[in-house]
Amino acid sequence: MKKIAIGMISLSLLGMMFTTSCGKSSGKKQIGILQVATHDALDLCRKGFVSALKDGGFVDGENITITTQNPEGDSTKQVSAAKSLVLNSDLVFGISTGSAQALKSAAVDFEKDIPILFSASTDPVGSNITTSSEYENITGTSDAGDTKKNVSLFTYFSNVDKVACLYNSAEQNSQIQKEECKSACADFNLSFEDAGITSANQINSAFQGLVSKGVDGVFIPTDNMVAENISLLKDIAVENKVILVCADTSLVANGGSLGFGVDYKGLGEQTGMMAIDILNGTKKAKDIAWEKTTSFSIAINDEFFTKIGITVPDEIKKMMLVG
Amino acid sequence: MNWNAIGYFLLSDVPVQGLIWAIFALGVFVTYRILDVADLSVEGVFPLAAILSIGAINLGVDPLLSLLISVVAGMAVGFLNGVLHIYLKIPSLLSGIIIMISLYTVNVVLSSGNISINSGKQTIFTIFNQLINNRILSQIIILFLFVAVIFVVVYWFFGTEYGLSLRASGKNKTMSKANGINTHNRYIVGMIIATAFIALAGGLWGQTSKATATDSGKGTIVIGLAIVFLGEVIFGRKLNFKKSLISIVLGSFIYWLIMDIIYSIPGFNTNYTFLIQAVFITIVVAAPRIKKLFAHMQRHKNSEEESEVTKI
Repeated sequence: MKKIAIGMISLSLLGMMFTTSCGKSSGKKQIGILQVATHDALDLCRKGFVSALKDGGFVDGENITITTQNPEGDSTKQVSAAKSLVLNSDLVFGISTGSAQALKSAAVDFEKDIPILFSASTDPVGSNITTSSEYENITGTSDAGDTKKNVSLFTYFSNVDKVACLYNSAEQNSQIQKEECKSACADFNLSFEDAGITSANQINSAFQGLVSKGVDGVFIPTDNMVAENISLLKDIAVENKVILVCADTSLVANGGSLGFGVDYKGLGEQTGMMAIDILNGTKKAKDIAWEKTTSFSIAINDEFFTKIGITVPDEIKKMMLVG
Repeated sequence: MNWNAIGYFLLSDVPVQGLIWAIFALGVFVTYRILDVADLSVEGVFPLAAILSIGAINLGVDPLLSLLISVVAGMAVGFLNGVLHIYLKIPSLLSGIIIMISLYTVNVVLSSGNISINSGKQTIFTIFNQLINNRILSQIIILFLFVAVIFVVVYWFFGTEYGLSLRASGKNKTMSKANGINTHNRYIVGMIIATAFIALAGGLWGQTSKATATDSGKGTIVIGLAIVFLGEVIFGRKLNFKKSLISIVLGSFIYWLIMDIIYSIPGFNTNYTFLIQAVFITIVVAAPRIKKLFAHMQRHKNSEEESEVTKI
């Protein structure tokens, strides 16, 4: 057994030697990216960030070195990965709330004052990323959707006067969007119906219930439970000519009617712009205010509108062209 | 990447993670080795404890007291887990799963996805940091004190008559019953103890990382079991109780040393860590068997050679 112990220790030493021989300590700026998991939106966000840096004159392998760590959703490993990145980088970028928190916590613990950027965090204030006196060298972008912009889509359809919000009442994120939808409906003179559910098997009956109440437009927030089951609603929506506005463009492809979603590549680019300013030394992270996303893309399910026999108003089609 | 940063990373992260997960692995050890059940409830208890500790701190509770809240909640869950198995006759593996999935909902409701320590709030580590003014060192010292006290108490407890009867009822239920030990009672008490350790590890983890996601328990049972096995492989399976406790701590350190080295390799695609972890655990668990196999082959070969010699 001693042999195994010795073997392991020498293996780890070998690993350390390998790591040092690979890493050349050159003048290149080290950029560390912590991405919580592999996911379409998060991948796009990272790619947008890297491509914005490239456009700004910072190319991976030429004048900067980018190290990406992806703990695949494992929170405990994420803490270690964050520490490793903070110690080895000149600027770190956390994609998701948890990643940003882990990077910030590591920077505080090591008392290392490096610029931290975050993205794809819906509520950076509520999750204590930006509101802290102990660490100010942090900024980034939030992926909170624009509910009002989505609800405004209903106004282009003359047949819609009663709107409901279908969401999982256990998700805080959805609760917030429901409230936003409610107030937006009041602004647009639409009557509002609350349809909170607590389990995926309620979706069907909840939706049928809404139809019987005369609801002709349903807003679907970025809610995981409803998102996973959107295809269940597809046929009933067509049958009853109910327009489903989704706050996520991928839902439109799976059965929704149309909707503005966050463009994660644009979000990454928006964060990349901040990184360029920091790397150029023109601004410090603490002087840049965190921003809400400005890049939305609209998706329209043409098949749906052909089936229910309503033509999509030109105003909406124009929005698609603008991007 | 440079030597200093990697060295500093390993020196700072391995002790912190190693000590926290030693407590966690002790909980797994109590269920898996002493009670002889694979308890999956840990995946729900770990984040629950972290959420409760962070939530209590945010409400203004003393950080040390918040750990106590986590531990008491863990004990309650352990009690429930034991009762499900003993009185409702639910298989122990299933009762663990029931607890794990029910806690998922509890965690979502308590934290709505993510919870973090509000700025300006203290943890036990930041309070101690005011004395020595070194954040990493204060984490290591506090965690070391926790581990030292817990392992000494555990060593003492499992040496008492009650503790021995608990160990006996896990090893051989029928024999223990025949000797007048109430094995039902011992099972529930064992579960309470084990889950208390898991909860303490979760609470400490929450205070070191200052934030937790609802699903931070994902994969924790694998880490816990890997540490227990790793300790046994390196220091031998048939250890006395004191040595098996020590092997847990050392196993935890070695586990995180290896994990952290993986994270230190520049340009390494960390998507592969799960596969590496799986291969690593397979090797660790199968090592004694492989060793035996080699010894057997060697003997076989030797005897063949011998027989050839005799032929000549």
